[in-house]
Formats: sequence, structure tokens, C-alpha cells
Amino acid sequence: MTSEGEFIKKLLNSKEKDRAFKKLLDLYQERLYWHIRKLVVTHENADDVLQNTFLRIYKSLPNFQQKSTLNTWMYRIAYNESLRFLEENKKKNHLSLDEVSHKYINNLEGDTFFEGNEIQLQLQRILSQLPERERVIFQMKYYDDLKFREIEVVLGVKEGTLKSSYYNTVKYIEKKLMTVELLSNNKV
Amino acid sequence: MKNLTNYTGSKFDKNNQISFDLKMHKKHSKELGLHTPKDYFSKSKIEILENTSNKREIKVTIFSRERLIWSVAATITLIFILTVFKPNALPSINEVPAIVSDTINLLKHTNIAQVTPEENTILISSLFVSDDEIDEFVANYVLEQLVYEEVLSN
Repeated sequence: MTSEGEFIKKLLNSKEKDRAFKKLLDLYQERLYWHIRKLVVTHENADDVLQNTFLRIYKSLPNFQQKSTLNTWMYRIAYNESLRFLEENKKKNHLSLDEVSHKYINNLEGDTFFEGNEIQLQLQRILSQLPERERVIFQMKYYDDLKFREIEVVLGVKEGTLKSSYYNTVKYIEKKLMTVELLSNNKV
Repeated sequence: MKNLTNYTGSKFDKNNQISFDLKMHKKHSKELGLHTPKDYFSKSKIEILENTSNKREIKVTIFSRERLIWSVAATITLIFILTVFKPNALPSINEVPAIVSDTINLLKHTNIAQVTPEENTILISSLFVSDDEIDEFVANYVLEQLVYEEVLSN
């Protein structure tokens, strides 16, 4: 077991940096991938953004001032890289950020690495209909299992606002999912 | 909606991390239907490590290129300084003491073959005489000449 402080020291030490960076990849690659995947939706996009994220992390390590934990610092980089990717797509296709997300969700059924059933697809659609900030807060809390104070650092939104946004979103999703279930039961 | 065991503590534990990643994977595939290609994470890890090592090589290349540019710039500056200031060049004829310019003129207008080795030595050694000594010599010479002319006229 190594404390985070010791681990950061190793990451900043030129002799130990490479080995420590491998360990960093072991620890954070999957969770950052899933965080990115939910934002950019398709696997191909997530793969590109993940590569860029780790390159940026590697490049920015000497500037890491340890004002936040390593975890939240990397989530922030991953979040910013995902937004940058969506912004580029927005410019290319002349769409808003929400429209870009809707476009990806609409194409989700054609994605080789989406094997969800109707309910899962509906959940994705419900999520895509949420305003961008609410969607990200919900995803970071529920799927990425981050604490509110960590999300506060990543998004720069106050903890109180985050809590109320999250609980409202949960209620909204539950309500929507119940409607979907009722509709599908009626069909049967 | 079940909560996952949060893995954001200050201690790094491999087992915690593996179980956390597994739970995350299950949650994303079960609830959102999202999957990844087989062995994606191990392949992606290799790719990321290759990219970061390339980044290091690029840094070295850029550093070498900068060094080359600086060397070329320094050489050009040195050539420019040498051309403008000419530290080893001979001073112009107006800047040298009169005795030296006389010697140069003498050498120019006299066939070098006519100058005896003795005269040659005197001329060359005159180049290394200090200005004060020359002034003293000239003053003495002029005084001597005046006295000589005065004596002769009497």
C-alpha cells in the first residue's frame, strides 16, 4: 500500500515516473474510460478521448499542484478532454452540445459495442434528454461513484447545488422509467 | 440503484481497485448496455504507454532542433561580428602613427630588394617602438637639428 502523497512524489520523480505512470494507468484507465464513454457515448470516440486524456495527464504531471486529489484532477482532465471533443464535433457539424449528444444516442443502436435492451436504450435516451449539467452530475455521482465534494472540484459547481440537482434528476429518471415500463407492459 | 463501494481513498490497494473496476464494468454493461472490445484495456494501455514514450522522444528531438538553431544563430552572429569589427585586420593608414605610415609608404615606393637586411630590421623594429619613445626621439631630433643649424649659421 502506498499513500497518495508518496505515489505523486514517484510520478514527479524523473527516475520513477515511468513505473509510477504504468501504475496510474492500472488504477485509473477503466474508471476514466467509463466516465468519458458516458459523455461521448460511442466506444471509438471514448477510445480517442481516453488516449488524449492520458497524454495530457502525462504532460501536465509536472504542473500538478496537489490542490485536489489525483483522482479529481484526472477526472477534471478527462471531463475537459471530452468537452473539447464534443466542441470540435459541434463545430464540424454545426450542432449544439446537446444536439451532438442526441445524435450519438440516436446512433447508439448501430454501435457494435452497445448491446443494451429496450429499457437500457430508453435510459440512455432519458439521460440524453437531460440538460448537459444535470446529466453530467448524475453520471458522475451514480455511475462514477464520486463524492459530491469531488464533483464540486471537477465541475466547479457548489455542493448544495449538486445535491439538489442529483436528487431531482434521480426522481425524474425513476418517473420516466416507470412510464416506459408501463408502456411496454401495455404493449405486451 | 445500488451504491458502489467508493474507491477514492488515500490508500492504493490493488484488490480494491480490481473489484471496483469489475463493479463499474458490470454496472455500465447491465444498466447502460455499454461494452468494450475484448482485451481493450490491456491493448489501450500499451498504446497509451507507446504514445507517452513517443512524446518523450519528440521532446528530445525538439530540444535537439532548438540546440541546432541556437548553434547556427551563434555562428552567424560570430561571423557578423568578425566581419564588422575585424579584430585582426590592419588599421587604416590614417589611424597608425606617422612613423609607421612613413615606413609603410617607404616599403610601398621602394623596391624591397633595394632595402638592405640591416635597414629592414630597423624598419621592422620601428613598428614595435612605443609612441612616447617616438615623440621623445622626434623632439630630441628636432632640437638637435635646430642647434646644429644654429651652430652652422653662426
